[in-house]
Amino acid sequence: MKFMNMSDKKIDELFRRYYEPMYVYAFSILYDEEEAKDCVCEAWCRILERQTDIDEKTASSYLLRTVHNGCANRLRSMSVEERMVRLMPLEIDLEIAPLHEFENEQKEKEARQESIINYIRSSFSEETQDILWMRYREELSYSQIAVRLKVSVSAVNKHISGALKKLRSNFKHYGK
Amino acid sequence: MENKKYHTYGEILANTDLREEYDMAVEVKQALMANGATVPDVESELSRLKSNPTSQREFRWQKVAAIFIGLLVVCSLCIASVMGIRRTLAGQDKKTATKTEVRTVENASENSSEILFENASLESIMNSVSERYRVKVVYENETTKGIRLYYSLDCSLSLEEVINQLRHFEELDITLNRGVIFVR
Repeated sequence: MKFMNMSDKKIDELFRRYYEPMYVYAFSILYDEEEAKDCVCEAWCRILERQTDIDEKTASSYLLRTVHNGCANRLRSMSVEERMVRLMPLEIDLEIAPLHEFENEQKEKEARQESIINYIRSSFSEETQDILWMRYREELSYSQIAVRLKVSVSAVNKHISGALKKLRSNFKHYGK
Repeated sequence: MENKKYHTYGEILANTDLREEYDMAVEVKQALMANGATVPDVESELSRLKSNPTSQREFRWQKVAAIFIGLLVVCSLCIASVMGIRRTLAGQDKKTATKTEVRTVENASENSSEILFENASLESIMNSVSERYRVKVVYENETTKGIRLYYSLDCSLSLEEVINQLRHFEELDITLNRGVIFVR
């Protein structure tokens, strides 16, 4: 019985090769390990269910686009307030662009994220970097950061708003 | 930016400056999240995928196949008439399994408000739109029917919203006029 167009071996190979980029992509949008894992798992389930035969040449873009659409569906099911509380994108469309266009967009996005990280590392004091990490990576509130660093909440606010101001002046607004 | 503390959500959405600051904060967060992500164990996740009911049909079939082969081995030791009966039974099992598999897929698509078209012809997409929204589709150029697209049809959207989404495809010129969709 041939269940689908792809062999088991090919599925396993593609899964192992692209799991990390798929997971990181989902995690960078959903900010939650379990949700990101579920999103990747659902993407694969959909591929298996639909018996999609993945072309190895475009596998990376195809799989990331599938994860992107899974994330977009999850975000679209959340209210605007819910997304804002978690600092999630307010606009995320289902990706229907051809694979090569999506691939180019992803390259741009990755390059921009790398530039932002490099800028933070090279332009901000260690204290500001720590505060940005605690705020955006550890998802602590201003008051939790203030308690941890033994500084005032307004000092935390000053670091973050100053950093965002500099970042905005250095990075042109991104479309998505 | 601590949105709740300093600004209402409405203020952030309405004010260009606040909105840009929000979007920048989102980008920083996404960059830091991607940069520091700890990737789960791939083998565990692969096992999880294989144990997922949605992807289990393959393994159910392997089980059916194993039983079938087992039956054949046993039957080969029996007289021809007995073997014939058992083969027939195994064949019935197989047919039943196939039927169940198809029904499951049909149920899944009925319950879903989203239909995903992957590398599908425009004609098949528009047929679904036509069926769901009870509208007629007129092609001014027959060759457009064969255009292949990746599209997710969200049936919770209005017809106008669906048409607007389809207009994003550069190669398509779609208009809605008095309940008829025109594709040029």
